Amino acid sequence: MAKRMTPAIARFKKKHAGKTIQVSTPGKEAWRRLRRNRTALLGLAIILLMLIAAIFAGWIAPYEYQQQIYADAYQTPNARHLFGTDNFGRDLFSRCVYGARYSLSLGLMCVIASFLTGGMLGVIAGYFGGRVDNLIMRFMDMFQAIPQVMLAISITAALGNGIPQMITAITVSTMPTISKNCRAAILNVKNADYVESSRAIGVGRWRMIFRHMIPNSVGVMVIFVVGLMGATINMMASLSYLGVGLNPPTPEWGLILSDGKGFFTAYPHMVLFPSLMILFTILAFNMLGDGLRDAFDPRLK
Amino acid sequence: MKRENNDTVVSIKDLVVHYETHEGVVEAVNGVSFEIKKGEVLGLVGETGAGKTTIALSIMGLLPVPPAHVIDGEIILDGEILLGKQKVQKGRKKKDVVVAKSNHEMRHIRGKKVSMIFQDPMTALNPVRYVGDQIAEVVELHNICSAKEATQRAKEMMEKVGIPAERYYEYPHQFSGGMRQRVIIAIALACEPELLLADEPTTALDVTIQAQVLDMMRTLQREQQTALLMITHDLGIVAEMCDRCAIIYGGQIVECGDLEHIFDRPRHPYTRGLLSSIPSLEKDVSRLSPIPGLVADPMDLPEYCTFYDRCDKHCESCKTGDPDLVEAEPGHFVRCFRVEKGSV
Repeated sequence: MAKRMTPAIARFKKKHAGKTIQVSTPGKEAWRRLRRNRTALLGLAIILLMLIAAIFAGWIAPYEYQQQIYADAYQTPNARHLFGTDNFGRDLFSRCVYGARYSLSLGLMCVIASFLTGGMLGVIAGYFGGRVDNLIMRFMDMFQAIPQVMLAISITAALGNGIPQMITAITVSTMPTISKNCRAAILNVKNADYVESSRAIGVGRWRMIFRHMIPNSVGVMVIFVVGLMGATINMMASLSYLGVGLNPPTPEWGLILSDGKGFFTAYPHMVLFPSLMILFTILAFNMLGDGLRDAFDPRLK
Repeated sequence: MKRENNDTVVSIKDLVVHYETHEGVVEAVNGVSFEIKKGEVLGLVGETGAGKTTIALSIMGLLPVPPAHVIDGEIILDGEILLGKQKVQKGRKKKDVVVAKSNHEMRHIRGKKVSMIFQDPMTALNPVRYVGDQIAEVVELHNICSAKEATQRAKEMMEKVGIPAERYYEYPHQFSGGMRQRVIIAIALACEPELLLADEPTTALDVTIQAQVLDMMRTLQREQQTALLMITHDLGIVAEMCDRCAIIYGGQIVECGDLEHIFDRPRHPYTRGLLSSIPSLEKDVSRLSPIPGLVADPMDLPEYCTFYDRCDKHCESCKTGDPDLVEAEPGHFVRCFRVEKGSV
């Protein structure tokens, strides 16, 4: 048989000599579909813009975020101060640009932390099932019984203001939803034939989880991560606005908003610009998330 | 069936597997025994629900427990007891309990000593990994070798099953059904297992591809001297591939023997029924003669011969009990009262 196959192989080799075979991976397929989705691309563009602002804040911002120029206080938007200034004469544009750095990096850290804790717990619950599943999920139910923002506020109230405290608060409060989503994603692939056939060649449980099951649910998880980024940034702004997030003078968007709320009637620009930053960022993440969901949905192929 | 042979690869004795569900106990396998020697191909033929796949999964140790429970039996693979009775202290009494190898121990046996080919090649490969990597994985898991050697071995296997090694870095969705089944066969045979279980390996393929894949399987099986358990409901495949054949009905082997026994001198009414329901090109028959009735309900098997209700030659004495598997001629076993009494 092997000999009879040789001409076919030889022909194939001759035909494809020196050529690399075009491989379309599921990821490439998804990118191809995403590129046709204008809303998602707009979202991606805004996120990239925010990312550039965050990384190059030092060059983009004309002033330091905490620099107080009393002579320029209470200015409405003009050529020197694009977004105007606040009551201390701090340039709002610079503060918003630096704010992107905080929102994006902290948002990302929160998402990673929730995935490492809640996500892993969900994966374990889904894979092992039975008593383990029950234990983890009832534990998560307990957390979910408390409203998310309330849970976060109580944690920061207990731990105090600051970056690590806020990350803890947000991670713990998003853990239930993320674990349930990851559990569902694993349950989805758990009974797939390829999992059964991997078992039949002697694949162990951790290799099964990390090499076979998680790669197959990456599509679902990417969508969830992007959605969660928006939600996390929103929650951070809410906490800071309520005074239980970061400490002033950190240029966090929620905090800028909170600082400006006293001057809201006379100088609306003090709340307008940070609000717009929050709005556009969350909107962008949601648009990208929707686009990714469409791109990864195999039924739309 | 107790032929003395030292080169027996797998032997199964009195295997009884039940599924305990809410609706009742499904008696899937009821006392099945057989042996396969090195390089031998045994066909396991039966209708849907006869217990064929359950037998294969018990050998692999992949039965879904619960609902499946091995009630009785012994499985010995290459001298190793995969499943067997052990005396376990229970209270004051010592009880015989069927003990299977743990999942951890089975992991080193699956893929190395025994492999399984599943029915549907379209879903049995991981869609997000290179096909080559999936072949290399089994080598990496069981042979102590570098990743590079595993890759090399995977490429070798690909060429052996008739796929250019250049296609190593491609995904399953770029392959046709027949090609995927070739990849699956490559995975199953990459570690040169002692025993290969093929669970209807060609049912999902069309006939021309079926012939190619079977041909290739047969060649590789002969080359590696693998014992092969061919599970199928197609007697044509049995005639093509197998050395011996066991007909299974209601979770029991009703007839077992060499190919000429089964095809030329069938003794059990069920085997005869199966053979007469195959369309023939030579004989001019206006109608096929199917076996009347439905497969015995494994949830409610009768006390007497399981085939009684569909048998066209049954008599009153058939209702007296369950017939035993008797040797009608050397190497030919039949489970029927009429053969037992010597009147056929």
